[in-house]
Amino acid sequence: MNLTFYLKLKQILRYIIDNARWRTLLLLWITLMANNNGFTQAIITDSIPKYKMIAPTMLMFGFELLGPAYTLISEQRSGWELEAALDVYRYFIVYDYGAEFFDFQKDTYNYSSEGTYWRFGADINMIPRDEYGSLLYFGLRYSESILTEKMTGKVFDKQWGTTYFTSLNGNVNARWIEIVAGMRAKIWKELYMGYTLRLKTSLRLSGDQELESYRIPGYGLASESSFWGVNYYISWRFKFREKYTVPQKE
Amino acid sequence: MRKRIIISIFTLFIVSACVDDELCAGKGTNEIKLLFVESGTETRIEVALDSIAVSGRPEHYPVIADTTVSALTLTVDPARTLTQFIFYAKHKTDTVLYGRIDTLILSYEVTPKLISVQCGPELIFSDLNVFKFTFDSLQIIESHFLPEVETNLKIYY
Repeated sequence: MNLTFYLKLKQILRYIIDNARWRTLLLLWITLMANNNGFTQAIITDSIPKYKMIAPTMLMFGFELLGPAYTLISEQRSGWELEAALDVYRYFIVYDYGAEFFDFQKDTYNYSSEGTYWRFGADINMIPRDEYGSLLYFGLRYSESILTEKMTGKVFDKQWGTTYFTSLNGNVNARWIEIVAGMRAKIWKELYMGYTLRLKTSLRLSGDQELESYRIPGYGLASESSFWGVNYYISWRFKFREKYTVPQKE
Repeated sequence: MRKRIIISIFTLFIVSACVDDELCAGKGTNEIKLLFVESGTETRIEVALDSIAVSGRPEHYPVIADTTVSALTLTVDPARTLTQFIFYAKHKTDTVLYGRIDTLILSYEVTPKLISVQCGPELIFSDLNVFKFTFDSLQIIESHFLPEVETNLKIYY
């Protein structure tokens, strides 16, 4: 009887101690988190108003280099692209606008594609405290292109001989999503250079489809459901004011 | 700073070299596969054909000549979206051998496609439909033009 009572008492005490330990740890963690947040909040709200923290400090205006390079070295491809990026705290709101032209002339066909495209999205800067204002970022874009394609050519069939065709896609609309990552490094004063790697995916086409689309300006090969791309930029930073930075947590 | 420029330019050349990889793989075919079956029983039968002609294209006569088949592959005209086949058959009963003429008009879509800059164009055929026929009956089994399809049309004879 005494032994049974003793064992039950021991079991109850163990349960209370164990639970108390977890509760204490949980409480301690919550307290620390609360204190930590309170500390951070105090820095932001007490010393610098929050709107100043998120208000834009610069506009980065970029010019893409691969398009003009293709224009100079290739007879088949040309293009240009401009980029504007506005910072909001450690994020960037980005808008790109550009145009691409393709012209392939071969013995059996002539194909041309031309159109404009735009991208809109946001990046998160992974090094917001960099002393040179350099960027290392990743983000998302929604992109659209309006294009015209034309192809004339001939195909040979062993039964029917040579068939000649002319096809025109007058007004095709292409939409896709991009996952981007890239960097901009400070070169001189407010001049930056860098690149953006793009994983383009979820391509949707609508409009005239007399011809199966081949090259989509800003996207690449229409037959690919996802497509890698790179753009290389030279940018100038128009700085409005100094950036307020949050002290790193201890 | 110089190091950053060198790394950036190096990355430019490495990555841009991978941008325009293109593969040559045409998938278009204008072949349709026919299967002759007996009306009512749906059993596969053999049909003795004198010839098959294509209306309006005498230069391609005959597309098939003097053969006995239960399944047949024909190609549709890539220059048009309708092809009219005329089947001249010897129909054999127990005692009599007499001729039979049937017409089959197929409709389809033809869309040019550039496979790649190197490979050039091809024609993609799609949406196979029967516009008109004089056979007993007919069933579309597969409306896509694909090399791996066994039967596009089942003809009840």
